[in-house]
Amino acid sequence: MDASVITNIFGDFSAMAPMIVMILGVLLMPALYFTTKNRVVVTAAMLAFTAVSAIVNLILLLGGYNGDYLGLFEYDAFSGLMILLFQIVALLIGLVTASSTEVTRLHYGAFMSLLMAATVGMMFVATATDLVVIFVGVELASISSYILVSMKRNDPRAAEAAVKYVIIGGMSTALTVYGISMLYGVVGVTNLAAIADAMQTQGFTWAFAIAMITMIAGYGFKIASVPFHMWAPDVYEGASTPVSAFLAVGSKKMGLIVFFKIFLVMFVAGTTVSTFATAEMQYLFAIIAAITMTVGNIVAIAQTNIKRMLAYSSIAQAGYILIVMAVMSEYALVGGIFHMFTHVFMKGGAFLIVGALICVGIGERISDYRGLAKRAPFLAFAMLLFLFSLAGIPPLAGFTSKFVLFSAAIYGDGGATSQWVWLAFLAILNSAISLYYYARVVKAMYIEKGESAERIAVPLPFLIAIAICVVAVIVLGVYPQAILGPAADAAAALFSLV
Amino acid sequence: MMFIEYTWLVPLIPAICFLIVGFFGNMFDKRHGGGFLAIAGVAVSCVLSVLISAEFFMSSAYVDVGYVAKSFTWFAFPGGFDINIGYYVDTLSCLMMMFASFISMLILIYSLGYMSEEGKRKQRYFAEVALFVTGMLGLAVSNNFLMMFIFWEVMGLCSYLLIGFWSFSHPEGDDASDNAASAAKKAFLVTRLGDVSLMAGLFILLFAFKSLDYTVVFDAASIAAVDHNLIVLASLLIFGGAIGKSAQFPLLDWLPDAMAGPTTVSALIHAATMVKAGVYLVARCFPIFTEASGVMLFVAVIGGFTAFFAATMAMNNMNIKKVLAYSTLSQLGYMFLALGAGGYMIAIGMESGNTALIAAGSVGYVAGCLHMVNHAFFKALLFLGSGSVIHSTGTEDMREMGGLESKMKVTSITMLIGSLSIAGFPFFAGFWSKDLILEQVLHAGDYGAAGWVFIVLWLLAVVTAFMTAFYMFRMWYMTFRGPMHKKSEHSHGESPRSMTIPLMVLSVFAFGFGFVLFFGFDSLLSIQIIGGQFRMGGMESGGAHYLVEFFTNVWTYVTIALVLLAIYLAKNMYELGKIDPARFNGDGESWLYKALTERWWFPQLYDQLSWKLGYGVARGVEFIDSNIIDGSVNGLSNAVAGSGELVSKAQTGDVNNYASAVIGGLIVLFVAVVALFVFMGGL
Amino acid sequence: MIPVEYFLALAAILFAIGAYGVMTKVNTILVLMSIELMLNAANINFVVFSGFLGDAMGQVFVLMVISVAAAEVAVGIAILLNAYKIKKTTEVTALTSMRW
Repeated sequence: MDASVITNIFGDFSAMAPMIVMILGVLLMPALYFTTKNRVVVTAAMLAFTAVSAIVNLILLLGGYNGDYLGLFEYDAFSGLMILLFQIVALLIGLVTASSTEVTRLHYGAFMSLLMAATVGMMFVATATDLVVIFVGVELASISSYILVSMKRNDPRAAEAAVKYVIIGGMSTALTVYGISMLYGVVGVTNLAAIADAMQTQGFTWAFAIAMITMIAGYGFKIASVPFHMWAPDVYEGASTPVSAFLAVGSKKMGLIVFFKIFLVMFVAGTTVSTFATAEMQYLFAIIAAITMTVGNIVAIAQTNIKRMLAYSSIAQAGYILIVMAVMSEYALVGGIFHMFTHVFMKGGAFLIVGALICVGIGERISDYRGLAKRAPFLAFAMLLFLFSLAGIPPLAGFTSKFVLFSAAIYGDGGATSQWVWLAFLAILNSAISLYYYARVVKAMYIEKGESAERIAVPLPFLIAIAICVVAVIVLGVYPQAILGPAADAAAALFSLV
Repeated sequence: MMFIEYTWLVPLIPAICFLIVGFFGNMFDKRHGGGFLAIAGVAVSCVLSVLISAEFFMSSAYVDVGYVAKSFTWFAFPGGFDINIGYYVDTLSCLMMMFASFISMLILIYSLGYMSEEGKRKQRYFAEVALFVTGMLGLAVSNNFLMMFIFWEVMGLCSYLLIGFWSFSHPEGDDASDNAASAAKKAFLVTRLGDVSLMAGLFILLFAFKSLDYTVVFDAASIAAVDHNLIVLASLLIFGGAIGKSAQFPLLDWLPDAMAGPTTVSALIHAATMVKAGVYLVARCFPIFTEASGVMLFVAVIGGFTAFFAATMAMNNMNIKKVLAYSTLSQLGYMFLALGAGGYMIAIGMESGNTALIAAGSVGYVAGCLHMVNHAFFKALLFLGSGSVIHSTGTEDMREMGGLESKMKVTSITMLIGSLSIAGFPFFAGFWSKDLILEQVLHAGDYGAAGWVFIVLWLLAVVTAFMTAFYMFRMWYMTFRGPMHKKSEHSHGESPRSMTIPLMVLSVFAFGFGFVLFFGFDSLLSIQIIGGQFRMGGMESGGAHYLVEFFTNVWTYVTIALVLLAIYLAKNMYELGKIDPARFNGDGESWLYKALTERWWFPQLYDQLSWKLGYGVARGVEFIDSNIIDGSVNGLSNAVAGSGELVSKAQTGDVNNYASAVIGGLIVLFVAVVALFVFMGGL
Repeated sequence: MIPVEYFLALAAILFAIGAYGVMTKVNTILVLMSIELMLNAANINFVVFSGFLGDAMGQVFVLMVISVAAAEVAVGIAILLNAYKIKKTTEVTALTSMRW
């Protein structure tokens, strides 16, 4: 496919074309809802804008477009693929919000607008080549999602969750900005490629260490790595389920992209400098990854609320992806990108099922899921697939992506003896532990007897979204090449920054 | 290459049946719920397997290299290696395909009758069984470890669903459904423990060989290029997977519990699929396992000990299915023992360049594989027979049965054949393979520094043979002979034709399959090492040579005598009631008195003693099993869950504390960075 | 000329005070104010480095941070008001219905 279709229209702004389409939608949504008062129309418009944006993005991506705007934004294989990920998330979530009973009705236009704005923020991060853009993108996504969390009907927990989110989020912003300021002081530039260049000539200083630590903490909030994870279960529980899903599969990925774009590039560039701290920082990330996956999985065992359980499981999954940061190889990055994609479908699907069931009056406790296999065979089966995929049981997508990711840790860099074998083993062990709590839900659905045996009919949009996730979880598991090819290109594109 | 090219169809056909029955099963006739389709699918797979095998054995590939492998790239890693999918046909996979599909087909036919009262759930049952068979057949034809692992897990998932099958069905009898549910969970989680080990082993192989294809991993040149210790570690971890799947010590706890599922499922798990996967894995991995004789010694020790340990537990159990379950564990132990002994000899032979020893080890391998197939036939027969009894009487407790022979002619005779076979009664299938195993274990005792271990294992195995004969005939006499008890008085009589015909077919094989040993079976499975490279098949057949070897060996007669003694003992105790088994529970004096007064009974005294000892050991073993092993498993899971509770208490819900955690985390990060720099010399 | 370390120390102290406030203050308004302190500590850093390096990017960043901080506080106060309407309190110790 030829990217000139798009570049002819957008000219110099081609690198930002998918975002521009989305921004138009952001501006339109409130007005559209104000005039029509029809949620279906607004949803259709939102989906249309996102879909157009996705098509634009796909044309650019398949056309192999490479271009930048003012040295702030750059569109390449990596950003294109990540933008696609966020668009998939937005489409899945946008599809179901109108029929969810949890989402606000009064401010539906604003809700949709903010959903798109948050997506735009994430897309900014995906294309950013400058710390300023990363900062602005992250804040756009964060501030939008603070409001999204509070926009829930008839639930005091949402207000509480939003307060917690905004306080910890604000604090993390402050940490991040402080770190960026120190980094700026050390290297004197904010452009990522320029920072990477500076790293090749510069050694390690204390100011630089402080910058790294505060930035890791600040962006660690976004990916909910331990110990910066404590907001996540509360917010996921309090927010309406579509928003929880959005945060778990969208917002978290944005944090990971920041990690890749800033730290990965910086430290891989720094490996050539003998005094530079890459080896130490790899260990630091390895420790963070190890603690994050272990704490996430162990605490998840103790949960009785399924949304909290999924929140902790998301923390653990982020821990798995952080293996990329420890290994720091192109191959590991491919695994990380792959796992980010599969995580969208399996965790997103699981959250959507929870959301769909809340719409028909089934609670959030695991015990409420008893006998679900009889009442809603498709949903129960889909849930089983998602949970087993999360646990990494073949031949589902979660297994394949984990396999690539973990084998990267064992394979190491270029086939030399890897020092990260222990991390891979810990991850495998964690996957085994995680099965314990996933199996509990499956047991409740399939084996325990419920109080009611009535059939459940959930809204159609939910069914469509869940069906998409089911297909993706199976297809990506059986035919991983579909995503591995683009992921390899994306990883190569990111590593070309070095 | 007419049929071999279509090897991929063998697992695919049952998979398609699974999809059709699973998703469109409600369109079928309610009475069968898609059962006929599943049977037809598995039957086609079975026929195809036979054709493939026939073609393979006549092909030039069998003569030249011993296998046919074909692979396609499944996904490519940027790191420079690919993961493939494809098939790998050699004698072992042919054997697995044929007997797994054949026995599964018979079990499915049997299920038509056995599950006839299950109503709508039949659809689920047949779909899951079809998927189960897919898993096993896929495992057999996989050409690399990853694909094998995927099918391995598919089976694990199906066993979870099938063992828990009845958890739904007893709305009033909650005990049974709880039982089924917890058994399913236990089976899943315990075998998962093994799977983690297997997965770790696979990763090490991947790391060492940069490939998971059998053709690469089993290639002599690539093995030579890899660090020896890595291979040993990988072998041990892979064997850990086999321990979990085949329920060997110490992960044997789940299999007896798994009896909570329908009897047909037990038959499927024990005879044709699931537990055989572990044996298959060890047999498949012989080229890397034999890199170190220690690994093979470990396999043999685990197998031999489990064989003995499980047999003692079978001796005092009153549940007909549990007796069979323990006997499965015990027989699987024999298989591992045989593989271990054979592999031990091969490993030592390879070190010292002793080709005769390698040839001897090859016989151990043949013995293990032959016992695997024989066991599949007689254990399927026994389970289906016990299912028939349970179907008719409505109980699993042998104390409530008795005297059923008159009411269930076919079942009793076929089960007698199965029992004779498993007990190792001369000329039945089990006799040949078991004797071959015993002989090889004794043979292995002559070599290497650890040879004495095999002598001990041989003694254990001989005692186990005695116990096996005893508990099997205890079961048979308690069920079919002796006085009738209340449940057998009200039994429905003989089971329907769809259930008895599979029994008859299986009994033919349970009697006669052992004779294949004299018709070139050992040649097909023989292992030769040509220039350091493992090569399966093609060695000259031992044929009638085995007959001479068996019957000129004094130990064969000792074993036969022990078996006959055990049967005689069981008959006296449970049919004729001449010996009251209750006596051995406590009242030692009268036992001694009787032994002294009734002189004709005297020759059996020593065996009685050993039996009493066995009973005591059985009790002790059961105590250890339920209180210590089970306890520590529970303790471990409690510890993990408990720490989860504890850590989650840190989540106070107070934002101030969350902020403190962030700042605390910041400080910890800082300390960690400083520490890392100090230790790694960055500063 | 005042050495650059003095400014950095000032910023660090300001940052620490802010962090202390976030950790200890029970009133949510005060917590939000503490966050502002932390953000402004970063701003001081930026301005100092910008002057020190003779590079304008730092000042651009400051403007960005100020506007983002304004948006964040606006949203924060709105969320707080919402919580106050429902819970009748703005104390963080009262907002602990979700935990463990």
